[in-house]
Amino acid sequence: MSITWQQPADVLVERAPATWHGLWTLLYAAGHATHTLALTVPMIEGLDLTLAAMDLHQAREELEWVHPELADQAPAVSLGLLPARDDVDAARAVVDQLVLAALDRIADLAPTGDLNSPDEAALLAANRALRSARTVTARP
Amino acid sequence: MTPITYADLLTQAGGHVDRGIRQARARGFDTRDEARDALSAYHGLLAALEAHTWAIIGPARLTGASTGADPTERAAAAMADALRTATGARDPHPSQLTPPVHPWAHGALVLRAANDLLAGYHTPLGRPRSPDADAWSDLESRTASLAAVARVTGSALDVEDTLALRAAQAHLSWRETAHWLPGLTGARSLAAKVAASKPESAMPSRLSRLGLLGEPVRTDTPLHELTDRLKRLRHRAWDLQAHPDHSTATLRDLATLATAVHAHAAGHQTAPGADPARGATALLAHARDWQRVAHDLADYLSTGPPHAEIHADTRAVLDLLRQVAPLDGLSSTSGPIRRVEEDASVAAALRAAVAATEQIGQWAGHSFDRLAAHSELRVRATTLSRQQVTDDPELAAAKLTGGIVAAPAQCLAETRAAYTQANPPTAAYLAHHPTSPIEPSIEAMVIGRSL
Repeated sequence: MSITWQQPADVLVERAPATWHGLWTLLYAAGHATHTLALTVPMIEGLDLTLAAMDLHQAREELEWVHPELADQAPAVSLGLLPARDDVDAARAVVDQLVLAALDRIADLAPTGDLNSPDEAALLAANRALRSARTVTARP
Repeated sequence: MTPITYADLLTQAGGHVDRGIRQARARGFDTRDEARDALSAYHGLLAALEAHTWAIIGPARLTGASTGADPTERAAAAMADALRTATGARDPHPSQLTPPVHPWAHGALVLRAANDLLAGYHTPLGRPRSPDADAWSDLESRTASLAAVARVTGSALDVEDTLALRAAQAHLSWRETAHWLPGLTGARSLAAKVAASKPESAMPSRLSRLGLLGEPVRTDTPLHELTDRLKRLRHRAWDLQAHPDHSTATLRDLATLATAVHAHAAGHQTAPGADPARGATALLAHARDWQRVAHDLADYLSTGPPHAEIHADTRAVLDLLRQVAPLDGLSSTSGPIRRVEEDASVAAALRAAVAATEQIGQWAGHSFDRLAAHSELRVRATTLSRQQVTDDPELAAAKLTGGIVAAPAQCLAETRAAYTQANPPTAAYLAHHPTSPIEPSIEAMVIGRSL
């Protein structure tokens, strides 16, 4: 079980508000955790995780480019290093949990109507990047 | 279709010239008009050879790579001057204004296309337009190309007497014949001198490997597409030196690209279920190093989106690598045996990819240094480590209160060290110039004329 990652991830998923700040925090945590995991596992899995991290960083930056204040104001929370006792599959599931939570926040933030403003375009781009990342993080 | 190279065009031009020579030796002209057409085409060919000689010498002199002191270059310039004296200084040469019929006219057309190909590598002021423009700074390469042109020139000049005889047989006056063929003995001996300076070699020179800049990406096979997209990425990464896009997201894309290329190359060198060989182990280590660079770069704020074309090409290359060189080799279980012939072309493409990536990595490192030197790299203070802020009270305070700060020197030094670790200058980087196609060229498209 990935105890050390699971606990802070649970807190983030539960408490990160459905705001741009909350979404940014989830993406920051997911991106860093994915990169950390990528450096830990064998390259055959690590490469895909590196690409997923690339997607997650891009999703976060899509938000920063329309709201530069996010990088300054939103809490940057990292899950830290992956402890040696952590199970890699469980750690991947934790990352996926963060990605799913971020997707949920996007669904909440995006209006049901017109999607043509810069804010909505950023949310759409982040949504696309997250869905791409999920093809890796959601693997059993 | 294989991308055309300069060597392909020169070979093709030589073929046209030889065909014209055989034709002149095999039979005389039926009419005076036919004789005049052939003589006009001959003049056009000599004019194209003269222009082509300068296409090799000119950029080297413009960029300062040549001082004009090299004896071969001096002889080649004298040869070009002698040809110009014979053919006249009219520009464009009159033969260029009619559609090519004679083999020599086709040869001239191909040579002028080769001029266009070479001309694309520099701006009119001598600024390079491609990382491969430094081929002109290689004296050996210039000499080899001048010798190759001199061999074609020598073959063409050797037929002068035959032509004069054929013209007389077609009842052209000696006066008119002398106008077309004034006696090119001087040019012939200069051509022989230049040709002798460098014997023909099986090893292509750097100039001979140059291809047409801006060719569209081939999408007929994944391997072709991979090769072409990497070539384009290499060119764009080089171009970032002159036209920086200030985005660390672009640098992250390039680091991810390098990770993937090294990992797939390692996978391809390893049989599924077996331990990686020494080369594959080194490639895997490089892949890991590039992963760390990508991880490090994620901590810097990116002031804007990544370079759109680099981002799109990186994505496409990652997909293509999965197709042409799956990571099966890195799997602990055995997998299907790869076909040998398929393997060889994939291995060649991956070798070129690794070499191109090494250059891309060097240029990306330079871009990072430039961003750092201009204080354009910023980070969130809260994400800095204790060691990174310990010597700076302001940074230490910012770490507690939050905010965006200029990346501290230690942070920059760590990323620089990660770049150096991932991409130490290697023999492959110094020697490889991945512009040559994987397969020999089988056809050439002649599409332009240079004046």
